[in-house]
Amino acid sequence: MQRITIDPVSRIEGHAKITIHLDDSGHVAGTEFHVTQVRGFEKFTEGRPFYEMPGITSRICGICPISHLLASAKACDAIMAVRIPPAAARLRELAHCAQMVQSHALSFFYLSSTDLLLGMDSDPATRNVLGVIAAHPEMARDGIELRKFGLQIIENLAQERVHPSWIVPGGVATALSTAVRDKILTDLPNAKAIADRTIRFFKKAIAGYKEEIEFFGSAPSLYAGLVDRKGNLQFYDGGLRFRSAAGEIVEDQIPADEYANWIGEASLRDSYLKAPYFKTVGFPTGVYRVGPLARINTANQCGTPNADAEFKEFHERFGAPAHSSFLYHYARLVEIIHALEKIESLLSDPHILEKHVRATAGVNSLEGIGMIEAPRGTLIHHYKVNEDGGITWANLIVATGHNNLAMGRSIQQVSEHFIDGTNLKEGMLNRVSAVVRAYDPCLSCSTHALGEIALHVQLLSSNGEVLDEILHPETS
Amino acid sequence: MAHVVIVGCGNPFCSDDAVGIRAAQQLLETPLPPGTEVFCRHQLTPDLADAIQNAEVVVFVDAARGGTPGEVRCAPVHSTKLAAPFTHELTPASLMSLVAALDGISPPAFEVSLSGECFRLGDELSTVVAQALPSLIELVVSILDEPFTLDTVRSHS
Repeated sequence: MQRITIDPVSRIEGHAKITIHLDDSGHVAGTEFHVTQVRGFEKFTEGRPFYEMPGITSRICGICPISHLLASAKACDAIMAVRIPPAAARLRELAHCAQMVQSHALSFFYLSSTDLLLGMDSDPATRNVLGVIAAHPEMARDGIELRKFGLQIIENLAQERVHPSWIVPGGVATALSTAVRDKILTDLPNAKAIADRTIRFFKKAIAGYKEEIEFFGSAPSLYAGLVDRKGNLQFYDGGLRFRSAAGEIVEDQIPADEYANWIGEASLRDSYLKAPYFKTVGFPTGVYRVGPLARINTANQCGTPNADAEFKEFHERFGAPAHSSFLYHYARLVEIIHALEKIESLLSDPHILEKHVRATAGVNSLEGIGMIEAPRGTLIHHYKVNEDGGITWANLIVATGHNNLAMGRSIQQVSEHFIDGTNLKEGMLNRVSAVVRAYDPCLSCSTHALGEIALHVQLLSSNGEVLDEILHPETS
Repeated sequence: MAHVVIVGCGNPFCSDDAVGIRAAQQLLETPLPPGTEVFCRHQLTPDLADAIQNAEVVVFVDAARGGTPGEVRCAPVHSTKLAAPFTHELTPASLMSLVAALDGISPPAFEVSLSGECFRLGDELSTVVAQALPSLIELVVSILDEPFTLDTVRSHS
């Protein structure tokens, strides 16, 4: 038996390794997805005052700190038992939409466009951002502009673009000025034009990826995402919906404080990433996906006109639900359009300029849960505190964690279809990495301890024979 | 009126690595010639290319590892052909390469650096670097005050 290792998986956030086992005839016998980092925020935040949690947990990530700030602040709001001022809710949502734009732009243009524009089999030496700039300079410029647009909104609101301290328990720290609002509205048409021409480009280019669409994680699964009471896509608020592979709503409007009735978590021996699963079905078959594709599958519509037109075309073309993980790229572009439309509508709301932006209170509940849709999927921060407000327990279920089982299954499918162990080519291995990239995983965000970390250590001979092994814990 | 872009970068939680950001923050509170833009960044990122491509001169301000702690230096930045740029680790040279690739040309650039003594976790500058910070800022300001040509860059190298 042979083993191929892809280490590291390139053009993702965080660190991961893929092991592919080949049988004697060179066919794929098995695959493993190893997330090789542990962050441990759930443990080392014990004892900290609850109101520090947004600032601490935003440091989990440099790409999506706004997500952790929002989920954490919502959990703190629940501990304080406050309803934040209307302006604060709108401002938080504005920052969130800006983050959606910049994070999705990063994923599409910086991480995945090299495969999409230059080809999965292109020369690795030029399959990078400079290769994109050389071959498609306008697309590269658009990517930089779109990401900059989102980051500048965050910077204008929060005075910092990475790890801002503006989103706080009870609301936000400062109100929005008319000057900042008007600046964003001035820059918005250019951002919308970029999003529009990018999705038009992608809809044509996707015709060249029929095989990837068919074999990139296309096995049906459950889908999960937040929706409002009308079934519209929700990034900031709403209840959690699960939709089946056949399209039926399985559970709907689950509030944040009931997530644990539906979502279980398992530890895996070969990865630091937890594996959440749908409890009704059980582990390991209760696979569900979150993130852009899942949100587009779960919602009835986006709720903004241009995005709804794209939503309708997406499902006419690929089904409802659409199952191929390759279509995460397409769904991401639909969501950029939706986020830009939401930014426009939020800025047109007169409440957003109100000066009262923070509610204040002490500890009024010993438990708080915040749930939002991060760019990569549903994000849950769950805290327990003592009467002084000190954190006694924390659980974070991060978007990429929800997708762990699905990513593992997708890697298996892509490997089985594209890898020929008797004639191994680099493009085959790039496709295995590319299916992981489709999920846009944020592995630095998603790896936190669940009690004891499961561990499996093997001692292998030079020809792959297992000489000894240790399993911890001894039972799975 | 020269359009000058100053980029101060560094990690504010790694002791002397913060000196670039600290310098940029102080420059933001200093009266500067019209047309000067100052950016404070944890790291260099591709979106800076948009500001840089319209500049007449670019000044990067950063801590340096190696050299005598507290020593201030100025060196031109040359864009280079890169094999596989990693956007998490853009250097001034790779960022200028990105700009050159996007626009065909890139403005003259140079890096003003201050050798650090301590890069461990911490939110304070070491004593020697804190004492040298005013000299770093003074050098950046003196460059802005001069008529800007490539000879000016060379004279400060």
